Amino acid sequence: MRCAGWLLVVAALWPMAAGSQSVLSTGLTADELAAALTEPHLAILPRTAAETARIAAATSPTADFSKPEGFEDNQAGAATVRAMETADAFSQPSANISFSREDRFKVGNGLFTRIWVAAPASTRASDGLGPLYNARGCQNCHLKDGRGHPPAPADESAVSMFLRISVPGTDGTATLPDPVYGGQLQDFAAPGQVAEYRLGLRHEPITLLLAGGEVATLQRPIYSADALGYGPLAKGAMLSPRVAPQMIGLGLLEAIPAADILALADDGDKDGDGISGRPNLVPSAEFDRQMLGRFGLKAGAPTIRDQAAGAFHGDMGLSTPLFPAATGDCTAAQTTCLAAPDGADGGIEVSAEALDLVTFYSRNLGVPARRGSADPLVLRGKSLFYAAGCATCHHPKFVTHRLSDQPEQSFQLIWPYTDLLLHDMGEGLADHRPEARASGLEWRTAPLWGIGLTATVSGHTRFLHDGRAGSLLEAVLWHGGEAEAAQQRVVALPKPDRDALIRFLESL
Amino acid sequence: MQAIRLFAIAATCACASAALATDRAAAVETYAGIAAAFGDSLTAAKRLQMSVDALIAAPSADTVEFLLWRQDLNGFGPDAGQRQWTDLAADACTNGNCDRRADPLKVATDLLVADLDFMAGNWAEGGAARLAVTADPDTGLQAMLTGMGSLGYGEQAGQRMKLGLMLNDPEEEHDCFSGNTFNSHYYNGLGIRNICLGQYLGIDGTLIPGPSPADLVAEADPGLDRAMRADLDDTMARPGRIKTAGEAGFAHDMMLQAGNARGEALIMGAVDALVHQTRGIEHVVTALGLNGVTVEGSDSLDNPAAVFQ
Repeated sequence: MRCAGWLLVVAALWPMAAGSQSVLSTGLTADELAAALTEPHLAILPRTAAETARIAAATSPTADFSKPEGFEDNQAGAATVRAMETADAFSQPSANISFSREDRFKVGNGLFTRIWVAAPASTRASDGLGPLYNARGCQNCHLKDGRGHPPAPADESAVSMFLRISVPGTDGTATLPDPVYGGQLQDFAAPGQVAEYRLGLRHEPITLLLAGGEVATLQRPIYSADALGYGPLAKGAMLSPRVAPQMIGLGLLEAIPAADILALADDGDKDGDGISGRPNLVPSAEFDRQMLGRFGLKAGAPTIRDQAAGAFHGDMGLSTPLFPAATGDCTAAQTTCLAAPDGADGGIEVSAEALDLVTFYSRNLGVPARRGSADPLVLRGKSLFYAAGCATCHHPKFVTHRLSDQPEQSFQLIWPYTDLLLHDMGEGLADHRPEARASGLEWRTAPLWGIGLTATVSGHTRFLHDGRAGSLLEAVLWHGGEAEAAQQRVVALPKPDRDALIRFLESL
Repeated sequence: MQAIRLFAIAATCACASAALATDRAAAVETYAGIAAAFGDSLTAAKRLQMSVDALIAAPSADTVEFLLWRQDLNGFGPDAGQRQWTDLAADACTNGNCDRRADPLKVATDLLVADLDFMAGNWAEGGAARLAVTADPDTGLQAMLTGMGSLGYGEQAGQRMKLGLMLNDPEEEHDCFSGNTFNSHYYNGLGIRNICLGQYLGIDGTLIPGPSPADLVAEADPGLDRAMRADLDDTMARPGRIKTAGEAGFAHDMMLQAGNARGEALIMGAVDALVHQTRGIEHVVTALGLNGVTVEGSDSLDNPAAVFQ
């Protein structure tokens, strides 16, 4: 099935090839481009020429802001769920899931909400946590399938946030793990083990004057890795703060044709519009090859299954078929960790079947419908969103691949408001830590669908890669680099217009 | 919708969420620590309930179960947890720290009673759940049927029964400390049946009848009503077999053991019955005309609920 899908993708490329993406616009070599275009994780049925034309028409940006566009309320197509007004808003399965497949979603949910324990324990299936970890279960960071947040001053732990770490690479690789601390810092340890660090966080205010006299105060976060458990960090170690992203619509993002994403790339800003989106190309543990990166704050994971296995490994120290070390992120230098008992019972801690169920669950969290898309204030905000240039990176709509085995994600017109590409967001947001092809200044465009429900689902309004923005306006004001011009346009808006722009975002 | 689910899952708890408590040292330590660290025990319990980053599961039915039975050290063998009453007795204390077991037990039971009061209040005259369900008949019926399908299928059949078979872990048993799982499953099924047939048998033997979704189905399609009642009978009979086996000593965790074909057959029998019943509920939803906004085939730009095809 997978093999046939690959061949069908190649066949399907011909209608797409003309003028859509090239070696020049993506910044990839011919081999890299071929790798990025290959989608072994999807069982694709090729588009007809007629469908391709219809899709082009349906996904072309609107110029009419007097009323909502056709299908605009269904942000996830037929998979869109009713927008609930409770914290369960992100936890519903795809609306078009069949009853028999919903069973898989529910069982996957059971694994997603599971609290894992360290070995040895009387449970046979739920142990193996750690020895070093960032959270005891998926739901602890992805609470109610929503986004994480930085620790408040009174919080005792930094759960839902951690620091990734690496050192400069050699021989052409961008980065390597820290020789002692691995690829991320874990702040929890099983009994008898030592945690790697405690997250230190303080802030420096930055004041911005907006048009009309409004003053905005941004809080620049300053991170430190305190109470290091295994000696100093390596020379040149780079830290990158990350909060858990929201979980809705991931299967749909996974099913956007790579060619359609690459068509939006413009490495080196050849068209001179100030925007230079670049694809990330990252290794897939599942397919043992390079693939287009889609998930994670720098598009570091190519598929949901890769992302889930990586999270089990690095965030919880649980082995899967893709990452079979029960010791998770521990390095050779962390000998107490390596000697610890595991929960593998001679095999792996999270079976292929369990990983598949978690993947299926993660793939099918439903995106809620738009709220108030016909409200005049929302429409005004939408026109300003386009006028300011936001839609250039926060690309409004795609149509997913037709898939033979994923009816929920197959051939849906979706509105994720992301191009899934990397963009230089300026010095202010930089982590100065590359990730594969992503530079230390770049971040993947975040999807905006569901963002207006963040407060309802998560009880906070923290946005951006480390949750530093305390509101949607702050998140916009942090935009720099390629987004500097758009940010300046927003700063220059009269306050009523700025408010309308925020109302539009809140309606997503 | 939420209110229905509250009612429907009143007495259930997933043992898996208390897996953490199976780490024996951690459980005693943390439960004791909670009671000791905070003065007012009810405040402590409320705080725990709100903190999802807490290192232990919030006090709940699992807490009560653990403190009364303690963990099942028999693995896949017969018998459940074996707690002596003296582990909780101040004046005849065995195994030390009896107050640190008794205090969380009181807190957890107080919380549970408060939660049950809250739910009962929701269904009394003027209660929020009652209002939500009665405000619009169609919405109310839809909520009932969705709740029945959702509990029976995804939650009960899927998470609480099938997942355990997949993981072959004795602690995947729903009530893993007490071994009372067969009753939990059976009475969940009875709860669904009661809602559908609009009847409730009190503990004093009084049968409280009332109007029911079943009456509506019988009006709309007598054949479907008969099929639905057959499904309801089946989802009592199959879990009933698990209950009979359980009462005779064939514990649920024994049934979960890898390679235990009889156990698997018993559990999957109940799972299949629940799945079949849920399909029946789907038909009922259609027969009563309760489908939500249907996905139209047309891509009309005038229909905001339309879907691009």
